[in-house]
Amino acid sequence: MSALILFRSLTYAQRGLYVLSRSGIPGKLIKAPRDLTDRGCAYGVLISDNRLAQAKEELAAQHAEYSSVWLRNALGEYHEAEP
Amino acid sequence: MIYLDSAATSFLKPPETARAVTGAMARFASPGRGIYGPAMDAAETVYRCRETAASLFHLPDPTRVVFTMNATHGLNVAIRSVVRSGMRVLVSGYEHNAVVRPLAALGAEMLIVDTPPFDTQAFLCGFEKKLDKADAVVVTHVSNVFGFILPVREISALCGKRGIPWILDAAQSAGSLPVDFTALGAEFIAMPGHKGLLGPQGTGLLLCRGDAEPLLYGGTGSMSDSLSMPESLPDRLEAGTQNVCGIAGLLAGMEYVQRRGVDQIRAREGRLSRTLIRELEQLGTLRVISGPEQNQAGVLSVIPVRGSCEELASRLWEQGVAVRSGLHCAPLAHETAGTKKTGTVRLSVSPFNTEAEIYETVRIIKKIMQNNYIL
Repeated sequence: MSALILFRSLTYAQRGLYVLSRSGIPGKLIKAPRDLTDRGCAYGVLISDNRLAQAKEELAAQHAEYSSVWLRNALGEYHEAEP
Repeated sequence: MIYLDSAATSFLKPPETARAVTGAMARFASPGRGIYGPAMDAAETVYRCRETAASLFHLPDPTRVVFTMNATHGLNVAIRSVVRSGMRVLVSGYEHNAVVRPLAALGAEMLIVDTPPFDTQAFLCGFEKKLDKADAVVVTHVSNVFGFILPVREISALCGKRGIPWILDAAQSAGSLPVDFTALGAEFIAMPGHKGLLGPQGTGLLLCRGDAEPLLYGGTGSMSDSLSMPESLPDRLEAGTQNVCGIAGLLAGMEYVQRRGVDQIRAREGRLSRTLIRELEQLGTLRVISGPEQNQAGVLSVIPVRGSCEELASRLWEQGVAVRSGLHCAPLAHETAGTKKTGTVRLSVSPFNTEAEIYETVRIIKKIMQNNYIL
């Protein structure tokens, strides 16, 4: 499984990606599926779900705000994770 | 050509700037508008430019770095975000029209600290006297006419003590003098990309602490379902397709400034200016308006004792020396210094000028003045 950390804009997602990268957490910047947000275009960083807890800690420590977190299963389906 | 008009635009730039611009034209699409390679490559460069600016100007959060067309654009956004009609705004007597025209258009009442150039103590005394009557402050870091460096640390402390929001116009200082966003505590700092940051024309940066009001409304590639502009920066202030080629050039310019070091650039420009001032003063045919080294950046104004500034500038260009004459879009500065009737000839250096160019310029001026240059 992987986890998608959703950000409010491309710049926020880029900042998130940099913070994670500097913390040794590999991630990929993607445009979020349309149905994950009710506010239009959004970007997210896809990471391995077993790094999610650490990723959230690193983002919080660097004040890199994210809007929601989604878990993606092997079929590519998303389910919102606990905040 | 000897280029001495870097206060207008740093025509002399590192070759990386032009290479970055042309490379971007060949490789980049629009950032934030697609997930394919050329769009994401553009987005990566745009973000790196924000990170570099945040590092150079000491911002903890690169999302507070906003791209603008120039310093004027940034100042318009900043002023409209802080100032309302009828507010009293304290300004130095050295402000550019990029400050005073937006303030006038908003119907703000300007309180002006009109003390002589290079007299820092007089300025601070006048500033403090008027500050209690002010709702906001807008000041330039360096006079674009005289090179007078205003005491921004003291201004910051005085504004901070009273909780008065202030805006810094760093048009002449960014890249040439240290500018520390965190330490200064200004609400906004506006700067061009095409002067001391050695980027191309059409680029600028606005560093934001406070809430900002958009000047333009439109697509941002985010929050697209909403009719309102996004609340968060930088998208709130960046409607429409960005100048990615310009931003690529700006990144290259800022990386050069970082590598060479702002202190080293300041030292070099200071040495060149001091040589120019000393040699021109010895001619005796010009009024050289200068101050102590620590109070003057790489900008110098002179007035010929006979003939006009425009004629002198024309003759200089005939000899291959590029300078600017007139009011330099800052009539307030000339009113303050008493030079409005004549204007001045402005000579402004960059880190790429050489001592040999300075001596050659002085030699040419000497010759022009000896040969009765009046057309």
